[in-house]
Amino acid sequence: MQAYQDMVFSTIVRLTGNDSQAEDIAQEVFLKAYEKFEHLRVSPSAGGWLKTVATHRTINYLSRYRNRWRLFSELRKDDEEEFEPPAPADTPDALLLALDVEQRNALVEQSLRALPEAQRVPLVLYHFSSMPYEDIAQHLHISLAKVKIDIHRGRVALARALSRSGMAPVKE
Amino acid sequence: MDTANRDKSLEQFVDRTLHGLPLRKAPEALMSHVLTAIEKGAAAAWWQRTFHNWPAVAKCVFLFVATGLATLAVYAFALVSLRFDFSSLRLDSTSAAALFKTLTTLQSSFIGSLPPLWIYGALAAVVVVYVTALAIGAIAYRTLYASR
Repeated sequence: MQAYQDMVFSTIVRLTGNDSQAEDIAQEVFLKAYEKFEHLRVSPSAGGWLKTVATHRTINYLSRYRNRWRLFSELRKDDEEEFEPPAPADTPDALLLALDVEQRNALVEQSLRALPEAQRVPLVLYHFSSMPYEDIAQHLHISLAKVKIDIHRGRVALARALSRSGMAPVKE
Repeated sequence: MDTANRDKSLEQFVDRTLHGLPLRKAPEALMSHVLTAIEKGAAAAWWQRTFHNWPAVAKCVFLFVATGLATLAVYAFALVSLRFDFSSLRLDSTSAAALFKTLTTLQSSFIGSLPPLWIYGALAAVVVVYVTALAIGAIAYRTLYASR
């Protein structure tokens, strides 16, 4: 269990952007794993199973506890801005290379966490979990076009955030 | 650089940047919380666990008793409030099929004997209660949580 705890926690926290929620979900994942301990103990794919369960549990959590209130708390019209083409962004490679590894990692984590959930979740699923666009759309119950646009917006926002905050000291 | 190349370059940059991140370290307390939850679960009596984890015998007994109580409740309700004619029904066998048939007959007779206004009224009451609960929840959320 200890061998996988960082992987499970990382998978979840990058989706939720919230440490305490991630800890709660990670706990549920390990309790689920405990129920299947006899099988997982000898399975070579235990890590993959844990990552899949962690990803699905987090998506379920986000759907259950946030979209439930969307009707009331986020009445802005997503559809109106859905197909607005995002502006292209330059990649701040040079800036990142100028930072040391720890600063760079903290900056990227911080910028990722600051993304809106609608952009962060598909972006993380695509880049970290290597999930195809179609699967992301299916899991998040949104259209394929929206997945592509949200991911692209997330990339643009991430690149901009890195460019903007790179010169400032990184907040832990 | 045209837009397509710029987008491709951006995708590659993000992919490279995110894949370059090390794993986040899990909180120190995570494992101890998991172990505590496992110990607590193991120490709990069977009736304190989820229904899924109950012993098979207990599940069967519970379902049998619950079905019996539900049937009795329906009989009692029909007897008291509608003066239902039970002479049209007869439990002539204890087999599951006969019991199911009897219950189905009872259900259709019972629903058929209800005035339509009662049914519409009950449905309207369910909808009103659901919408009210949802509205109260939304107001509570916006007042107590979202405004923070």
